Amino acid sequence: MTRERDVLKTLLIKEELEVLENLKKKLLSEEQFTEEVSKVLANALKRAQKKDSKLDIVLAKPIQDGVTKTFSENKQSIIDSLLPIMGQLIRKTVTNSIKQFVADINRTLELGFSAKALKWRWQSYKTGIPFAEIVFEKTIRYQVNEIFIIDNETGLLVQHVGKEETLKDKNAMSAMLTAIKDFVGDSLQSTDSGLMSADFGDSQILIATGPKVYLAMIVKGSPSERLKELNQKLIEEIHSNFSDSLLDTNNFQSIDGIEDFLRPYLVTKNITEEKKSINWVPWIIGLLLIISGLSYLAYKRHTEFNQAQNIVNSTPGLYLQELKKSGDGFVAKGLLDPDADVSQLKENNIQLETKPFISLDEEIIDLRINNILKPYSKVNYNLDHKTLSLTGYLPNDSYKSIFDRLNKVTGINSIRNTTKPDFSMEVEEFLLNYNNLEGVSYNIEPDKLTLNGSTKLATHNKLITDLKQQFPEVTIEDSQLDISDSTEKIISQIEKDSVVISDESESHSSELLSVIEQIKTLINRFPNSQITIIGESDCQGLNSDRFSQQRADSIKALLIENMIEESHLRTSITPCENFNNDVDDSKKIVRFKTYIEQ
Amino acid sequence: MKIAKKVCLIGRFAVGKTSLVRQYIENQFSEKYKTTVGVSISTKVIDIDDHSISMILWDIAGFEQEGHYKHYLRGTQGIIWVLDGTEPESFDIFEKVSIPDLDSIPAICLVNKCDLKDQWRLNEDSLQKIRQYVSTIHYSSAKTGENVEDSFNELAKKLLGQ
Ligand SMILES: Nc1nc2c(ncn2[C@@H]2O[C@H](COP(=O)(O)OP(=O)(O)O)[C@@H](O)[C@H]2O)c(=O)[nH]1
Ligand SMILES: [Mg+2]
Repeated sequence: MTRERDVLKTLLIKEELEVLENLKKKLLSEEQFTEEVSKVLANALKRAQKKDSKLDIVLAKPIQDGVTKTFSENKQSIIDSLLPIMGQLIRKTVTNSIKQFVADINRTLELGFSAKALKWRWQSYKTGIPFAEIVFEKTIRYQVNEIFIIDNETGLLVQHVGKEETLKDKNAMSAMLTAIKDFVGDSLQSTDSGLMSADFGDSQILIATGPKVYLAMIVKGSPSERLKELNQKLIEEIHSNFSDSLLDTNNFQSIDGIEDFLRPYLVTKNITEEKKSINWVPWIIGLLLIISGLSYLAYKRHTEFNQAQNIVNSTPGLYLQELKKSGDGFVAKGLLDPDADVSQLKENNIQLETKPFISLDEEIIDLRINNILKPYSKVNYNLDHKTLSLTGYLPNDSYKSIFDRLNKVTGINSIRNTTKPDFSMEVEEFLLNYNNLEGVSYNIEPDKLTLNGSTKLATHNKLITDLKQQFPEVTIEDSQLDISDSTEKIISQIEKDSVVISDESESHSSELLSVIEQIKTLINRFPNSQITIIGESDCQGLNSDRFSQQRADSIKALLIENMIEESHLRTSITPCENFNNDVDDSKKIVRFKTYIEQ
Repeated sequence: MKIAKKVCLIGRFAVGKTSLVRQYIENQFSEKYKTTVGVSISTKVIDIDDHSISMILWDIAGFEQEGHYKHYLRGTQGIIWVLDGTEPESFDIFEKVSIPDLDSIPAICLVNKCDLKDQWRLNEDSLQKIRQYVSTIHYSSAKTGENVEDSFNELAKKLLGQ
């Protein structure tokens, strides 16, 4: 490769030297210079073609035409028109040696330009702007004659500064520019993030668009790329410095400070005096290679740039004003909503230099709502035409604060709320700390509590009272909760068939003892209860009814003995209707009947 | 105080929008762009009391195509509806063109070509309909100049909130 490079270099310089000597004399104007360069280019390429036969097919005509045509225009157009073919050329021929070439050329240029070039080189080193770009910048001539700041929406003039007051009707000019800009519209803006330019008589109009106003700069000559970048910065600064004043159209054309702010940008840039002393040899080689180099870099950057731009543009809440290469990544400048998700940008090595703003992108509004509602799994929401609909449940204790926050979200016009408060957390906490839940299990829903298991009546009553007092809004479902000592249960135990077998013995069955306990509980619960003790017999013999009465009396005595007050007790018998001769002990029983008065 | 206001003329093809502006203003700005872009801009400065108001008149062509004129109506601060009194079809413009916040924008309606008395087709019914959209209605003629200057000046006053 080094050899190939050296050969190409020798070819370029040695063969063209004589030709260039003549050229130097002939060069009287830029046009002529351009003419000549086109011939040199053709020659150089012809020689390169001997090494690679494809080269001339790809290059010969387009290069001649392209360079000649765009030479006197700005750098961007040269790159643009050469880009499609240059990409191929470079890959095929000089890819590997291009960097070395540029280094050589830079050295040559330095020698050729002497002091001035050294100064530029220093500037390039200090600012990080490529040396080649500085060369272009310093040798391009233009004049900024007028600057308009115009309201995007109404097309009304916000401020105008001009070199001389040449323009008759600035108001009409602003409106017309806006109309043209709107007409040209999306096609231009999408390619260049709000930067565009158009010819205007013998001048050019450069346009840089911001969120509220845009800038139109009327420039005579060939404005540099740097000037366009500057314009983008300028429009950003106008937005941040004068944002309040820009809101009311009545302020327009009388905003304090804006004129002084703009005036310094009316400038005239001349080609440097070094022109005469330029040594053309390195210039020609230099230009050739700068073009190649820039084209190649631009080609490479173009793809990366597009990719980065796509990522940035697909990030909701980010309003891009400028995207720039920085190191091996990019820097995106513009406005960023604090809620925007920029993780994708970080992954793709795109740094942010943004000012905060509030975006009204649906996606961002959604994100804001989501941030607030994320912790609450039982709520569903839907955002439609800036109306937020909420269904489901939200925790009772943060209910109000959630709505306070939602009401502050920018971009929601109204909230349709059909949610209900969710008490489950509070109910659960309450039950966990409740000291008597004996036998009770439960199931908690947002606004309903279901109790199961089996417990005592007293425990049940207390629990229900406490719950109702604490959570009046919660439905309590306790039909599945078994009350082990309910009144019905006690009564049925007492009245159970043939409770006591009466055998007149002194020891009493455990069954009887349990009945006594039940009767006590019942009387305790209903102090006016009456218990009738009914004696029965097997009706064997004529004294049967008397025996029945004796059985009832003896049990009554037993109950009184067991601390049951007499006033609660009565006795009776089930009289015999027929008498028989069969002894049947199982019919000698006492039954209990209860009467409760609540 | 010096202020500028954007005013759009809205009306069907050939009702006389351009003629009205030409009648009102002698110096027309940049007819050249009109054919490509479909808008012609004129300005008129009017002094009312201590105020000087610049009316930026947007004479837009092509109200037959929504995609075309919509951009241009953005942010308008005053409206001149133009109808052709001899052409009933031109009375429908209100239904065809929708403008957000219409009620808050000062507006007048000119029923133009009032010099053509024998072809006049505006009846009470139509007038009634027009009144639903705009309260100030004048009959004008771009040909004779009748009611042109007065009407434009009246809108200027409305724009100043007078
Ligand atoms: N008789 C008469 N003709 C008019 C009047 N205004 C406009 N015209 C004519 O109507 C036609 C259309 O006018 P023009 O201003 O181009 O309408 P535009 O499409 O609304 O701009 C032209 O031939 C004008 O000469 C008017 O007040 N009276
Ligand atoms: Mg017209």
